[in-house]
Amino acid sequence: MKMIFRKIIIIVGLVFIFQILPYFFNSNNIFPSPFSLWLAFVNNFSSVDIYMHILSSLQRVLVGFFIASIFGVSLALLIGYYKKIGYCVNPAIEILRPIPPIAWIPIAILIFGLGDKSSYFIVFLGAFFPIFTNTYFGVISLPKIYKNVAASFEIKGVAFVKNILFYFSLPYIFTGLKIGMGMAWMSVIAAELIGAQSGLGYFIQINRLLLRVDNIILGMFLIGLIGFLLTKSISLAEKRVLLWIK
Amino acid sequence: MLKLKNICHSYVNKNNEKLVVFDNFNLIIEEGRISVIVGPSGCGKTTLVNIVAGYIKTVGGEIILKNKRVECPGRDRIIINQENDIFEWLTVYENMKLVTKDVVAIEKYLKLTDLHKFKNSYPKELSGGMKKRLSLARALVVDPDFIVMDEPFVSLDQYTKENLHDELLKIFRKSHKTILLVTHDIEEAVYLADDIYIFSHHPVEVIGKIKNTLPTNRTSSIRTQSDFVNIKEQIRRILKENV
Repeated sequence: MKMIFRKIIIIVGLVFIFQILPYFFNSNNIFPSPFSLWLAFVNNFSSVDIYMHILSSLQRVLVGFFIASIFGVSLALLIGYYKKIGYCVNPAIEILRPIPPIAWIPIAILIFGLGDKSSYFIVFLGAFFPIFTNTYFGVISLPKIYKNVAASFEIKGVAFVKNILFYFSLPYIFTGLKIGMGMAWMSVIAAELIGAQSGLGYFIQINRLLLRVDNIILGMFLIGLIGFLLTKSISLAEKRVLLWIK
Repeated sequence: MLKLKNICHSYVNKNNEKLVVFDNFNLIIEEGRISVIVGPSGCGKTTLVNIVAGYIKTVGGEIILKNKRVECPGRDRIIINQENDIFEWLTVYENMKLVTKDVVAIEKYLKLTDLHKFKNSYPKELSGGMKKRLSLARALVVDPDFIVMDEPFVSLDQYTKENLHDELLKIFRKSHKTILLVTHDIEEAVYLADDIYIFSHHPVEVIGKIKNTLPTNRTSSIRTQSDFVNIKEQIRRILKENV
């Protein structure tokens, strides 16, 4: 109860500071008050455009994230099982990993053009590396005793990967998915700022040109909120799936 | 019958020194009996388990199980480790199901080890003793020729350990498996063994072999009887004189 009260006090305090800041700086364009933000919220949500922008961004994130999850987890399991493939693939991944997704945007536009495909590609790159790296870390952490038990019972190939390697790595996979989801959101906004005609990144970019700071902040708030909800949904799935850890 | 013939094995320690563990080592384990190896810590008991299991390759010699040369790990020799070797993400039943499709056998061994009421539980919900029973049930369900137990009771309290000793003997008499148990607990060795092999420090030599004359139907009360105490003292004396 005390905690909830404290949180309410903090939120009310922040809203108050936000409300009075425009009076100090004498400019509602730089620091829109909570009231003007509320108006922006009501105005935008009474038109269909904002829903289209949210859906566009969501679609790009989910498609790119889904492909990254499949590739990231499968590749990590594969090179964890077949060490020799790992010797070839790992150096390439280590070179590509530090390159920020935003640096890939020009290449993505050149290859896929201005459209959803380049955004999927950028989101894929953003989400792939954390998912791959965490899964791979899980795979190489498999204790020797489990490998020995599997060898004694002749559990090999697909059965080993599916029943032992995958399940042991699942907590690590979920960590990768949560980090990957955050990266996917960052990447999609970056991609939409440059090479898209819809989405929350595009919404922010258009309102920047129109000097509508209230709409920009609304866009930022929506990005944060949707990102938070998506990460939360992965955490909920994690609790439901990892029954042996609870 | 398990034969270890002219086994040679060594490894390099942290100080880059070569440590010879086995130098032309020979051992015969008879079928249908519980053979127990006792020896000082670090003498090479676990190395022997790993060699029999096929986890490590020896420099020389051969291991023959039922007239077949052992080359790699296999279902004919199941190892029960001192660490927890149960798959934590699988329920008791799923742990069994992973190693066999024979559901009748799964039910049989879960009942034999008194785990059938816990078949939907995860290992974290089981006690240390129950986990060991599950390891044993999982080993028995694949019907191996040979079960090797590497200090399986080392992490358990005395009460659980003694209960498990009785259960192991009961299960062994019903399943008629050949068991090789490695321990440094002399009392455990005397209570469980049909044959006791005493190991020296490395390079390992069998410095004593004792045929246990105690009756096969053993209960905890036997631990205080003079025959039991005498065998314990005999082992202690051999170890003291040679190690």
